[in-house]
Amino acid sequence: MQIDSLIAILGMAAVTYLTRISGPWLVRLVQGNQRIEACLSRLPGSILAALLAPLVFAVGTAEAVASGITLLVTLRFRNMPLSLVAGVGSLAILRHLW
Amino acid sequence: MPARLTLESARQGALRTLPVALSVFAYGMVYGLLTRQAGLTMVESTLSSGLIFAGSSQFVALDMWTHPLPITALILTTLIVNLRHVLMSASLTPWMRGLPSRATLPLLFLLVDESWAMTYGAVSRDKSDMGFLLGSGLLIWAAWMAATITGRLAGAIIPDPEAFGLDFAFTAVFLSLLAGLWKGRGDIPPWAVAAITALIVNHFLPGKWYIVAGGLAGSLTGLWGNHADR
Repeated sequence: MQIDSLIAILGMAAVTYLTRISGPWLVRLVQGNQRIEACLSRLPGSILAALLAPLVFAVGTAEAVASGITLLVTLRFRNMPLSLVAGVGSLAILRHLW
Repeated sequence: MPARLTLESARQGALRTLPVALSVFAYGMVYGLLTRQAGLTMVESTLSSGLIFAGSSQFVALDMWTHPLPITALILTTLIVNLRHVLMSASLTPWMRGLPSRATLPLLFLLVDESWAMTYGAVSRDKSDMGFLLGSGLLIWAAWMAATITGRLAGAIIPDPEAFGLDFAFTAVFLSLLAGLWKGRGDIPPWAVAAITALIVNHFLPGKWYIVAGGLAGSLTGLWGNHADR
């Protein structure tokens, strides 16, 4: 193992860890501000929606349809393993059909 | 609300994360496979997964892995790709109040997209506490490590994961997690704003900026209206 690889990996690990622990510190800075707290309450759903949007709408028709099927199964059964099987399974079938 | 960290929640976290860990294992194998092609040694592959433990940034780094290593660019890119973790750990703060930092600091090492979303869902909906992150995160870390090593050793034996739709497991997991966060029609404006912003930013900017931009834009909808119901 070369020394520059070790430095790169340790540096990457350090900055990643910093992002993970700085959230609570950031929140402490803005504590008590009701508007910011209203924003924070909407943050988790927004992050998930943002993370998902390109995966669902910008990859392809098969992925968009499979996303719809996954969502229907999730809302009907509320069971994550089942949703996974439905999503992955329907996409595999759709890709063979198209 | 008194913050807690119980082993019962840790058990729950590990148990309920099992199907998610399978999908993490699937793309962890792809990572292991690609590290060989990128010219990392076995020790470097293992160390990167064990210490950095942030999939998307590790994949991006493989693209840049040419000797002599662009160390500064690698570190900076990793920071940018993982900035979303700041928002994620911020959203867990209410359940960490009162916990000592000697507990929360090591615990937050286990925060990745999957363990965060599972934990947020569980602590905001059920009676789970931050122990959930411990169980969920440890399982995902173990799956990620095992997959990296397996993928690297298995080499070319692994068939194209896309043929089995396995690349979609990530999307399916997050879709069902988002559905679990649904509280009512009030969620439509922030989620729509977040999704549209993400699509636009994703179109114009490389990397993971769309998650940060969409997340912030969606949460800013909290600035107007009456949120007494929330």
